[in-house]
Amino acid sequence: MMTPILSLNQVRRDYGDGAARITALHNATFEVYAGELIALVGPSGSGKSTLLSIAGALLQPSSGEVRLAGDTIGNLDNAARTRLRLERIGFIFQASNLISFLTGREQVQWIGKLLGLPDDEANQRGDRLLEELGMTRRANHYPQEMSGGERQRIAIARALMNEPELILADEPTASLDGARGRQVVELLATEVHSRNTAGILVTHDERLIDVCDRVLRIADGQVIEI
Amino acid sequence: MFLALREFRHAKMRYALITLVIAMVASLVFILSALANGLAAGSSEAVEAIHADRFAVATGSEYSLDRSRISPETAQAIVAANGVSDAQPFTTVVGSVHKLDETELIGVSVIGVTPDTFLEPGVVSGESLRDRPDGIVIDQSLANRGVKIGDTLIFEPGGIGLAVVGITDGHQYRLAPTLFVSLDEIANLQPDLDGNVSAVAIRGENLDTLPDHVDGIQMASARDIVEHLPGYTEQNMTLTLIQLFLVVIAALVIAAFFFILTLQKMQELGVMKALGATTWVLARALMIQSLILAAIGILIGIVVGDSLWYAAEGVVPYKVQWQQMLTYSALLLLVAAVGTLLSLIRIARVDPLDAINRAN
Repeated sequence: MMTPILSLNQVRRDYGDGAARITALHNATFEVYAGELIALVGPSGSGKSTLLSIAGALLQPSSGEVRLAGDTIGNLDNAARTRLRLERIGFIFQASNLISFLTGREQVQWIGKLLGLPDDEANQRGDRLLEELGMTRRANHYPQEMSGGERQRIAIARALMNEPELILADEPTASLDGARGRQVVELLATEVHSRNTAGILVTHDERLIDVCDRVLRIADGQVIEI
Repeated sequence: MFLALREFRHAKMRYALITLVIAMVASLVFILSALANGLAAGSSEAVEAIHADRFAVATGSEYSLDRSRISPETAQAIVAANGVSDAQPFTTVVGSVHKLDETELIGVSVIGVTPDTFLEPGVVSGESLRDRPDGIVIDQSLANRGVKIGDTLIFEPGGIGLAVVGITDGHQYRLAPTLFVSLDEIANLQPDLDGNVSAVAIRGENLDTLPDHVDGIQMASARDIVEHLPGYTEQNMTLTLIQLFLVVIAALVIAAFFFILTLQKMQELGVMKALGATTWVLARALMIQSLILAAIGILIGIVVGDSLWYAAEGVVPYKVQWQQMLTYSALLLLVAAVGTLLSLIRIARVDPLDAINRAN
């Protein structure tokens, strides 16, 4: 059987201690395979962010097992998690997640720098991605000169720069209108499918779930697959 | 460098302004130290130019050459004492001079020495006292005020006139130009000396025991004499204190600037960490920025401080010492680095989770 890219097994996350303890995530168990884009939907405060943070090695689970392509990642230290995010995970955050003082091209190049790629290789890979996402013409602009949709295209290019196994998108359409939001998600789905990576899209916009391959619903920290 | 330089480019004005502030503080530090050097040199260089191991001054004079009076007998006893290889009496007098055909008075220090001894100043032009014991050798600082070789200077009080025969350099004392005359001439200029001299400059060994053998004297180094000049120590302390405050101000300005900038960037830093940037990468960018701004500011300060040297020549006591400038530059660079430490702590504490939890 194929190894899932992301697998969570009985993952639980508590905040606080004793009587003040709040469980944000109850025994979440699910798997994401290469080439599929999963929609993770649920009301705010339902544990979406906690789940995404654990999947993205930003947060450690209180208990349970998290594996990325078979490697246990739930118990790594800070430095190892930083390294893992850099090399194996692509992040797309809400609208304002680009670095204000870098142009579109430099946002992408910077990931290449962090990875330690040679300059020309990083530049080539970056320019190819920008072209793929239709951003070549706008690549030398700063984020504040771009529209919301353009920013998220750059963010997608940046997330793909490290050729990740897993792409995590945290409400990437939050500040976009319906049509533009849909375009961004369709672009993301295309990239996930064509590159055979795994993707999780956190959204509260139910109209977008038809673009995704599967839907996970989360409510009160419980994950249910529909 | 990638992040550091691109952030400069994106907010040129902001970084130019902080560089300007650093440049102004650095300029002030350099100007004040050059001023302090100039004042110190103007106060003391004549004494320090005498290559004596020790000076014998009268007990109770508190190292003041003006108050010290040593009798010819005592001077003879010093010359004859054990360990003394050479001892030359000299006299300093405060007075004024004016040119023969002018009435404007110039305050001067007159130093009387025996010609053809180690006390006699070398001349940069004209003749020396050795050849013309009846003349005056003036310091360059007086020549800068229009006095030429061949001029006759009238001493006040007294009204005695002597001809300028030579010019020496680097012999100011108490911020006034110095005139060198022979000991015989100074006795004419200042009759109430009664044959006494101010002090004796001594070369030799084991000189600190000399007061045990010769009555009425104490030993002083050039440093002792300079530091007991009226106001000299206080003036230097004041200027040094101001400079130290400026260095502290530079540290605080840099610290506050980068701290506020870092606080503004917390969310952005969170995103960068989430994307896989280590604290080290972000801290290094900030440190590079701080050092580059400080270095540019310091360079501007050096240029300003140095150009003033040419502008101030002959007007204000001003003396640039390169080694000191380098020391202060290094100190300013150091405080720039220290000033960013506070921001580095904030960067270390940035949690990449903030990239996701920004709404809360």
